[in-house]
Amino acid sequence: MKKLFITFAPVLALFFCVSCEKVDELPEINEQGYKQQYRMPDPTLLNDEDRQVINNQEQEHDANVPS
Amino acid sequence: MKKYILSLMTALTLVSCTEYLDIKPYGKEIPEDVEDFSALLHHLCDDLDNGNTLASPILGVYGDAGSLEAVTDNMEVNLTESPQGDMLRGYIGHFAVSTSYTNLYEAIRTCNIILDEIGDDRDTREGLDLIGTSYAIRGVCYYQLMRLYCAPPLAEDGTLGVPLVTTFDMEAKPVRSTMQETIGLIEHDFKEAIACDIQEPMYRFNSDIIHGYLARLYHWCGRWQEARDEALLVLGKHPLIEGDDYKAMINKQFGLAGNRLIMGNIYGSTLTLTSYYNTLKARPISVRYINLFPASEADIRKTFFFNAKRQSTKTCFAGMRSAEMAFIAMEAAYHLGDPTTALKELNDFRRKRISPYTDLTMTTLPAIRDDEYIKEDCYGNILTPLLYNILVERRKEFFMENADRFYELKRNGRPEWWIMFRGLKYWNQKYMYTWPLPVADIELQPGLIQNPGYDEAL
Repeated sequence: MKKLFITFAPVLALFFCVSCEKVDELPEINEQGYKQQYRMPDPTLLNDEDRQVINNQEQEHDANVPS
Repeated sequence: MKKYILSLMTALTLVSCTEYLDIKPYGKEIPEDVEDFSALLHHLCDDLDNGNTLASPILGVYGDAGSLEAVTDNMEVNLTESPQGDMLRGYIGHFAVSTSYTNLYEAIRTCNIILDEIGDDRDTREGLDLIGTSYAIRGVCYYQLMRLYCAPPLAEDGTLGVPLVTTFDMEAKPVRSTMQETIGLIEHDFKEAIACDIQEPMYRFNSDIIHGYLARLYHWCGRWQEARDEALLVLGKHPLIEGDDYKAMINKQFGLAGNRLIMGNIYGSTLTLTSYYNTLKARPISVRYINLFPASEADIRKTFFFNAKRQSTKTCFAGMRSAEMAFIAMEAAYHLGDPTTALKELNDFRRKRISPYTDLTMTTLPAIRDDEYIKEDCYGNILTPLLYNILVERRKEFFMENADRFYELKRNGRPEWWIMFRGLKYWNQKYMYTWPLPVADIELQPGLIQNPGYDEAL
């Protein structure tokens, strides 16, 4: 009986380990849960030149499109 | 006693094998007969028809087509009205997510199950329809993955493909293939699908549609002669239409009409649709797009694509219609060094939309506009007037369809520009045209390469 146990013990241990393999593969989680997206560049404030571009677009639009 | 111990140990050994016995997929049964496989495909096709989220990246849905178009240079993000337009996204970077990636691979898994397991039924008519449709959908999924998650193949950085999964193996963790391997698999799948000669209309795909997809594939990767051959084949069977027939086709929201070959979201709710179009109206069409229609030309598209307030009045469409084949053929002729044919086909097309019409000649081709964002072709060469006019005509025709302008911008130089969104300045940057692979995949799979620009996961 002892012999039988000794023979089977490594086999059992091997099977248990193999079937548990997936536990090690879970992705790292952060405080909110799994990470899902990538950081994109932060937007910036508009400067005077940018505002002028948008003003020009608004003026062109208002001049040509009926309200 | 020995017998009991032996039995106990054998039982324990089998318990530890549970994971192996149900791996495909975990906790679910594998379909076995042709009815089961048919049910799998019907479920997938039902998702395509109804524009359900899981299948939406395969053929597209009208809402996605419109939303992605709304951040291109066809629209004026800076002039979006609030709060009506607050639901619209602002710039290309807002689309840089991985949802489509996951959904497309789920559809690929379904196709792989059928292709792997169908067994003895593969030579029956029903079996051929199932196999053909599985190849077709898998090919389309990889085609979409390639366009969204890889750099354009003709660009210098367009060397990396997507991970290729061609068998149903839940344990497989392939790394990214080369671009040529990805293109090769898509081509293989489409050709296998054509060989099956799909007959069942419920499966949506047939050989004409798959030839159309082959034309799209060759066009995207610059195999011009094959692109032209496939496009002309489809165009020969589904000729261009014009006038009222054309208008009726474009205005039809749900269902095939005219020379539409396939579409996603073939069914839908009119209520949701009205609400969506009202949101879109909050973002005016750009003057850059409006100016592509000269006042001197009586172009039918001017009469119903937009109104005097520069709001879109065109039906959003996701799918394939044969006009696209005309553009693939003429651009292919151009790149094959046959400008005479390219110009002739451009005139043939314009004659279907503009009446009365005077042919353009090499000397009367409109010059490249200063406000054009695409400055170079798919090889990085400066645009010529002829190619510019082909791209312009395509841009006019496919407004609000398939987010075509987004893909054209991506294919031709990935131009950068800034927009104002909710009072802040955002840059559409070159790398953003190629979306990131999911964070979890990158973290789980050693060796899986992320696209440039996506370094910090949140």
